[in-house]
Amino acid sequence: MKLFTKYNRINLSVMAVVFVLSGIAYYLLISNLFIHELDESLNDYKDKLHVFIKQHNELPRFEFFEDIVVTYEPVNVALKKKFVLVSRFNAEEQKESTYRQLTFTEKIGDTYYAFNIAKPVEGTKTLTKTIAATTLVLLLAIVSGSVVLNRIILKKLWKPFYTTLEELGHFKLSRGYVPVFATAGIEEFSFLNRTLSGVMREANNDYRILKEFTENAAHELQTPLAIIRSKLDLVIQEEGLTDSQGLALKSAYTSINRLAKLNQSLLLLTKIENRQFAAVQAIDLEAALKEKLVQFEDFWNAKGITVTADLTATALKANTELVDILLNNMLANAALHTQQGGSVMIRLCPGMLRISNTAVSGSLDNTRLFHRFYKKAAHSQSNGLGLSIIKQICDVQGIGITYRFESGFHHFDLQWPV
Amino acid sequence: MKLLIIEDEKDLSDSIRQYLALEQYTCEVAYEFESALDKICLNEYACIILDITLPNGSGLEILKELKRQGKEDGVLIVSARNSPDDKIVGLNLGADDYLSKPFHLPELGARVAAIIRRKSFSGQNQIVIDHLTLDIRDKTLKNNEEAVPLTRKEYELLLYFVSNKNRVVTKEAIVTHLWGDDVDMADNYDFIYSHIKNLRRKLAEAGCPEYIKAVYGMGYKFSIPS
Repeated sequence: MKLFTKYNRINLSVMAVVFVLSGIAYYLLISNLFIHELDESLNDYKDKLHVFIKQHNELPRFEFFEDIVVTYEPVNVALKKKFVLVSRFNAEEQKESTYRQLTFTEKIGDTYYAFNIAKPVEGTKTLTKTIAATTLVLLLAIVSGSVVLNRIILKKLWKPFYTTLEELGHFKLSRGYVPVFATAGIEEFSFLNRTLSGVMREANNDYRILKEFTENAAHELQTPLAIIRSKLDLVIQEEGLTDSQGLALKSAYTSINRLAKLNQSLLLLTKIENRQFAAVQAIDLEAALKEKLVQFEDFWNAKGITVTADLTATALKANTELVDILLNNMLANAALHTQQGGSVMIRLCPGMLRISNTAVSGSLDNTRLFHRFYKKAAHSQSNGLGLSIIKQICDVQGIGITYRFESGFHHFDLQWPV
Repeated sequence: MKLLIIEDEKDLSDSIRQYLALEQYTCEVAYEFESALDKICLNEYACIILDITLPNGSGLEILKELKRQGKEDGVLIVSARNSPDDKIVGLNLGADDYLSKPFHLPELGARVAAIIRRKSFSGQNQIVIDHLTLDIRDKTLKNNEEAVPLTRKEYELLLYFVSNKNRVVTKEAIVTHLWGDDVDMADNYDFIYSHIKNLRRKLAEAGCPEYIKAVYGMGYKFSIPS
């Protein structure tokens, strides 16, 4: 739920409750006031009646059209004065109405008379209606007003926040730049922006240091590797090495090669990350793949791998060198992880390249697949950087890559907008 | 044939010198920028092996100086930086080839041989070794004037062996030379065995002596049997 929606919901429900309560309070207050007024006028009337009886010792004539309805009857004892609300027939309006009635006793001569004087409680209904209507209208006015105001004010107030959010969405460590947040003018947002900038700068810095470390380490390793390899190349020239010396040399040589390959892959990764391959041109993928098929023929033949290729001419706009490395890695990967006698299928159509190979065992771990040094088997001869390189190239070239395991085959799909 | 090795790492420089000396090249060495400049001004070399990162200067400056003086020396750049830019800049400045560290010495040998061939036998595109004649332009082989049909890979393989005559070349070096070293292509190198076997068979059928011998199970050596 959006902040606005949530805020409006709470705001409006609280406001509705407050308005209904205040409406009820108004109603009670005002109707009490009315009754009080009625009581006063009834009291006045009683007092007048009292004075009249005192002076004349008889009942006055009650005018029929008087506002006040008077009834009386002789009683034996004096009653206590009391006010009540009664419902009685209103001759004027020809229906039952509510009346405020005052009952009291007066003595005329020797006889006690109980008087009921009543006045219609007029306008209570009107009052209720008016208050309800006013409440409703006010409620609607305030609700719509606050919705509009909230929309305008909150949107304006929260704008820096949303700008920051958007900037954050675009943030990528590998790009190496910290977004510049607009100054908000609101302390909380300024604080947020400052904190975020700080965290990003730090993350960027750490990332850069890590990257530089990898890069420098890989560079520094090149020369010693070159020396070791050259010395081994020289030692094997020696005549008369024993078999065990030969074997030892062979494994040293193989290990150096693995190390060199690993180092080369790491360097390549940092170079791709540093975007050192910028030139982009349209590449004829069909031709490139055909060339690769010839290049890989020997490897596949040696392993007895059947290769089927279904190629449709299509172009890809990308860096030539990177695409070459990408295809090499994908094909080598397929060949490397297919067992003797397995098969590799290559399908190229506009916007998509699928390379599938027979799986040795089940599905690969899709979440870690493209991570550096991911290996299915710990003893694997591969350095676990191949797929990482593939992914990195796809990322910088805007190619989507997905992995699927289906009916005993690993499928790697590359997709790009045509 | 005189070569100059400009490389600040003495150990690597030594290895290169020793390896190339086996092929009867005379090698001079320079370990830093100034002495390298002095040497290129004073002498002419069939090929200069040039490291880009040197103390007190860049190998690319030496290359520029060579070209400014209008010298024809062949130049092979070796670099640990392995950046595509270095390669392009180097080749644009007139270097003949580029090799990134760490390289196989036989690869270096083959590249140096190719540069020298291009420089010194302009117009003459043949390598004659014992009874064999390799035609560089047509990529064909003749044994005593009789054509020996080779596949492209077999021809490249033979040329590589000939360029590294009398020296052991490993399977890894052969794979790198023939298939490139972009990727970890294979988990074993058996597939080159079939190419070598075919090449040896074709040479034997053409009546050649056993030029190519397996060594320690790790490589092969081309030599002319005495």
